[in-house]
Amino acid sequence: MVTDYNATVTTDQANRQTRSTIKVNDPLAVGGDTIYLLGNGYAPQITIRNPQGAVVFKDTIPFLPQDTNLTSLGVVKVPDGLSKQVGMIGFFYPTQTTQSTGLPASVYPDLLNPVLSLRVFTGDLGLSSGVPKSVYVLNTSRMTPIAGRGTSVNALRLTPGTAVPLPNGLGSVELTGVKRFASFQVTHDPTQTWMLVFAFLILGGLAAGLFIPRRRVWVRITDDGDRGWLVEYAGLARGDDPRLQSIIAALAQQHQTTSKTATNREPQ
Amino acid sequence: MSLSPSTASIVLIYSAMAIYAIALVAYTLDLARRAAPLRATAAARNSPTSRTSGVDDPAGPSSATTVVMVAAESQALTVRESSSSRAGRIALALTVLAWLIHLAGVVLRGVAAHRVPWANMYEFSITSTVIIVGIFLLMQIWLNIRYLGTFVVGLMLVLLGVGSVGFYVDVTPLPPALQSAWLVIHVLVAMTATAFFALSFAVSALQIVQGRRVGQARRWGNTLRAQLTRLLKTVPDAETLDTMAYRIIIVGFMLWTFTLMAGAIWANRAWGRYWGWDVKEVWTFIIWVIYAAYIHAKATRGWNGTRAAWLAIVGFAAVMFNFGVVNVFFKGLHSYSGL
Repeated sequence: MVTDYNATVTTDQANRQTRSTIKVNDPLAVGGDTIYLLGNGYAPQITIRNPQGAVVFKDTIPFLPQDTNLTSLGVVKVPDGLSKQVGMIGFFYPTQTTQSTGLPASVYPDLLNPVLSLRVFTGDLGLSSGVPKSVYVLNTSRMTPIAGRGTSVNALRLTPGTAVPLPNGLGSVELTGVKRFASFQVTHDPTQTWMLVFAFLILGGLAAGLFIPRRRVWVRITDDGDRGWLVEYAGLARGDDPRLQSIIAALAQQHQTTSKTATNREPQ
Repeated sequence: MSLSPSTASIVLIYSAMAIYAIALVAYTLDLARRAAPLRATAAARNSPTSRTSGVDDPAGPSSATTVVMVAAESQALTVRESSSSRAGRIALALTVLAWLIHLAGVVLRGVAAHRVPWANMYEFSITSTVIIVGIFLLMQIWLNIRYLGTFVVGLMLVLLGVGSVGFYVDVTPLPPALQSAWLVIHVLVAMTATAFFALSFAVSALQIVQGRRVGQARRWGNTLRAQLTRLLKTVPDAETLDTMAYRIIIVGFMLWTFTLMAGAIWANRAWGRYWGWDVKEVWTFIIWVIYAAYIHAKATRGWNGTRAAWLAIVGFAAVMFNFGVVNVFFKGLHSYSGL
């Protein structure tokens, strides 16, 4: 079980180099910007040679992680150098095992038993149509499978440092190494402080709106002749307010106490 | 015999469930007693009376006769019931005992994991149920709401049972995305809000039954109708329950609003954006909207009572969906069930 992914980086600010780490939940603040670690994965280094042994393709290709054990999916496109255009699609397993179903799977995200499994297609990669294509997608509609599912040849199985021949004598593929990649996001957000201020205001306003009861109180004083003054109290609440009665009663009580004190003082 | 904390935690949780189950039987017996025709439940009915305070002193010239008129009729949340049913007292005592054992189980899980015990669905289940019962017991101090026991403990047992059997996972270290102080705040507040919503669900459901008791009971047999009527007479009327549900929901709503905000702040820290339309984010927002609609409905004439109660029930159904279905079956950034 993986407990953490750390990106150790060196930042250069005003010619001062600082080493620091970035991880999820712990972004790095640099010069008013924030750098987030969004993801990481593996980028296999692939070398392809023609039948004569000359290198026609050499690239480091990011494979996109599909699960927490970093089983990764990627595409290799070789438009030039071989007798036909070659496209390959496959999975990279950092720690490969075979499941009970017979299918391969990665059981750990570190490189304990790295295996690259590739299906091979030949035909038209569709790169000359002038329309930009995703490097992560292989359109096989105008291609013929020559290894892997749909053919009699097994998918290519590559481990680091081994070269495997391509079917039909096209050449060979070698997994020369595996590099890691990480994706970062750089954000500049000057509104953060204000966001926090307004979030608190919203919460405060909501609390005030919900918990402070709205009441209206009327007091009517009428001359009751010999019996003195009649003071009447009335209260109206917005919605349910079980404390209205006791609050009005308390107000009346308070008035009574003060008026009595006033009466006692009057004769002087 | 020495037990590891995680095993001891499981033993305690299951023991608590057994005692809750006995408490549930006692709560049910208490309800049955309320429905019984003999030993009438007419005792202690403290219906609120219009209180008139004031002193009549006709001699003094400035004497004030105080009349209190209250326009909005308020009803105290006191319960008109026979407060001393033995089954009810036993049920409450058993609930307290089960709750303490349950709480010990939750604490031990935290000890076993060396972190807060709410990082996956199993832990969320055991901790949020301990909060539900905790708040239920806390409310007993001010209000006699023992009549809700059957519903609350029953609901809680279902959640705890499903959580323990269906969602159980061994103690595992935290995945990177959860390693943050926000886990403590965001999830704890979310669980407390869920607990308030669960209680309001119980109150609203009872409110609907109470509000329709005449209409529905008519369709049933005479004996049953009489029993149901007697039973429902021992619990507060629909209006009082309505007020009670509203008060519970506004607390839950405040906490839920905070959950949503804290979640956005955490999301910004972890993933670099406040809001990303992740399934769980969307469902949390949907729940917020439903309860906001409930509060709005209460403020609008004509939507009080049963209709608002149905909204509260829909709200809790959405809470359950968000927890039980979204976490397990939808792929999103909040898939921490560990299943």
